[in-house]
Amino acid sequence: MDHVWENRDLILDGFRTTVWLTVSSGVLSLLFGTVLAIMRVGPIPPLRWLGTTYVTLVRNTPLTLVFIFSTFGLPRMEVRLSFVAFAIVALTIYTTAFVCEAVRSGINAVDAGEIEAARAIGLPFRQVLTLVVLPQAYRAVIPPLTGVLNALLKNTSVAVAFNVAEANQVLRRLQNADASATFPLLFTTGLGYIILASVLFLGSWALERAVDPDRARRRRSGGGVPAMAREAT
Amino acid sequence: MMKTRLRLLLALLLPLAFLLTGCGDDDEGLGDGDTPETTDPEVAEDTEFPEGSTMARLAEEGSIKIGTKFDQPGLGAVGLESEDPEGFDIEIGKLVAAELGIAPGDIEWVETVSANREAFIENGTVDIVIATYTINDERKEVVDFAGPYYVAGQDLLVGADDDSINGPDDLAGKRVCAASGSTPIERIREEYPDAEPVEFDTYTECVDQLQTGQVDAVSTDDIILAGYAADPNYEGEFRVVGETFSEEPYGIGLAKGDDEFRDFLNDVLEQSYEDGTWEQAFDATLGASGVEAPEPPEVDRY
Amino acid sequence: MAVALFDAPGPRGRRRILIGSILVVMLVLVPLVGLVLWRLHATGQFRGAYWDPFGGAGVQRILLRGLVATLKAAGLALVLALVLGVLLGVGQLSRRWPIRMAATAFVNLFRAIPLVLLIFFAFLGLPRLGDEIATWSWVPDDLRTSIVDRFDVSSFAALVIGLTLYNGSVFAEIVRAGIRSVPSGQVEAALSIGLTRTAVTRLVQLPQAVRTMLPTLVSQMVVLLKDSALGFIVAYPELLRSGRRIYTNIGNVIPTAIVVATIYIVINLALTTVATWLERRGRGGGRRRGATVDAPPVAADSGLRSI
Repeated sequence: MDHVWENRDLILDGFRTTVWLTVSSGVLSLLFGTVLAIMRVGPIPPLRWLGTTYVTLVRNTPLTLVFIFSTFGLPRMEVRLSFVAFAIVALTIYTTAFVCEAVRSGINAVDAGEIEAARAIGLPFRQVLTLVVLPQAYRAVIPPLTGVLNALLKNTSVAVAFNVAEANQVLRRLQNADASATFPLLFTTGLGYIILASVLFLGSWALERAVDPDRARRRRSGGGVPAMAREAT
Repeated sequence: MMKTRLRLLLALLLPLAFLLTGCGDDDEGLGDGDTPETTDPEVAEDTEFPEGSTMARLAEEGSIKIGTKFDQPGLGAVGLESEDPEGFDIEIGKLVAAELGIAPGDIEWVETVSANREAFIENGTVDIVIATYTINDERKEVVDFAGPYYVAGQDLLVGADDDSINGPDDLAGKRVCAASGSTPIERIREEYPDAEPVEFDTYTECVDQLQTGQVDAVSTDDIILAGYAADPNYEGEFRVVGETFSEEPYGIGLAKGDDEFRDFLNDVLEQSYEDGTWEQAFDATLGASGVEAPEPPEVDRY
Repeated sequence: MAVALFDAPGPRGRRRILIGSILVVMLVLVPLVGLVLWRLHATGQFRGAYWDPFGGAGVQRILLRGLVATLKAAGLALVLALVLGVLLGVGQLSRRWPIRMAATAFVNLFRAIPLVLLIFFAFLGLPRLGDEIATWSWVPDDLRTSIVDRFDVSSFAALVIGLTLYNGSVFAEIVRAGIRSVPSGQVEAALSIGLTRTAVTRLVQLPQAVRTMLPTLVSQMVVLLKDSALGFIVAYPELLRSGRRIYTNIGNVIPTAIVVATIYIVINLALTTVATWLERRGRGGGRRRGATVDAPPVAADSGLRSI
């Protein structure tokens, strides 16, 4: 335990990097993922194809491979960035596909009757989307998006092999320096992730309540899958 | 509907078929015959070891698992055509195996990286580790070492036209790459805190990043760096600075407390110093890049 | 797609969509694809020396070995995770609270922790644990060495253990949701004709749950297969690690990444096709039995399956 305590600054720095990776690639993925989702439900075929192709390709590729592509491939194409930036690129490329799917599922969750009604009164696609669909989809999308972000939080750990001093790299370094501290180090790091995941789910729960108190209550008492159970990788 | 499904199926099957048929061509000209010339030692016959010893067990099994680097040119590296690594460490491994009555072909080579060598010895994944493995007190707490069989020194590899780095004191503000969990990365961290340490699993990845300019220098033992500088893949791209700032005695790692086995390994090394097989091993591998074989170091029976 | 967000376009609309499409192609797709191709070409990624090795027997053998190693790890982990998942899933619905609590705690714990850390737990932690246990005084002396050996896991075992713990927990949620999708009336009916609780789970709930779960399970296999690439980090020679051996020898990271990605994508698309087919088949049969009248939690929760 001493070894852990002596190196608490290093461990905290590791988790700070983990959080930074999660937040920065989370924001970028939310942005790109929403654009991609709109492209996929829109009327212009080439944009739909582009969106579908992207999601299909990225979803079926291991994240570690995306990391190799960014950290070793991009420099070969004369793209020069810091290693943390490469990690953010990899995580964003990957997570965007899943955000897109989550947003799309949110759009699909909007009552078909309301959409038909909106079309019946003559609203064009853009207004159906901005006035009817998206405001409701934002709410429906919170639980699946939370799942995606939780997966992202865990996925930042792949950066361990790509020169990013996130929580697991710190763990491995300290374990290497003192193998007798293996268990304290493993438990501390595990605990760190549980705390971060709890913060994420509490935030999501509060947000869901703030956005739509009725729905949140319905979902909880309705015995649906609780937010914690929604999974994504 | 049917058509798209059929096409999808075809699209799925084609690459697999390509893989499968490609593998059928295995034997075309890629037999074991074209492994480069090495100094396969004479395999001992009628070996006798004390009952219950590790040597007796290995001799009985007729095979040994040796952990080594798979991507360290000149020391331990696998090419694309053969599954077995080649290099100086490999030759040392063959010497050890031969004394146990095990032919080179019966050695099981296991890839180890700097960060997992202790773990592999401790958890029995390998019987011994010969992998540019520096003997030091910290590691002696978890594993034992025979040897040293070579003494290297930490040095720097930089771009051929980079004249800003001429020794470890020029590293301030430079990105210096070394393998995770290795002695060099820890030394950079502790003794040259102004440098920015960069770590990957292996030195090949570091050299890759040096080649694309993502790091300014790669730091590890001079002999490893010389291997890269002389590698035809990187011809003329790098230079070894030549200012060593440490002493790295390479040892053979084995399970802690197995003194009988350690004595045996030390005997094998000393014998190879005397009968010239050590020098042959050096000349056939590291010596190929023009380095002359040094005097073998004295074995340390601690 | 369930709902159309726009009306079927008339002649004017079609013309506008056509114009829009042409503009998108000219202004977005062509420049985008062109830029990527140009960068690849300008940095020499298409040169023959980078691609020709993939026609050679040596490289193909390396890839094939890697693929076999990947399938071996993923296959074993799949079987173990399914067993673990059914036990935990049923355990979570147990009427005995200690079992319920334990199963739920296990599931939530192992899904909150990154797979990389789980693999480190097995790889770094288990050998330590073995050494520790062997020193305990009540352990019989003749068992000590075998305990140490037993806990000494290889990188293969570490990967399989990590994949099993994580996916077992995910499967547990899928199984639980599947069982809950079986209408409670059936359980009551089965109990009233005198079946025991265990028999109800085994004979009534699980068989029907499997129908609803199957597509989700197959989709999760994609996740498992992709995650097996984390063997890269502990140097298990799976497909990605084999790819690394190629590009560290030739220096062709991008071509190798493209080839290896293609192999993963092809296998995963095959799995996805199976999942879609199962789902379509299941939906057809399910409606008759009324099992999917209220959208079953599994199918409705696309976040659970899709990634």
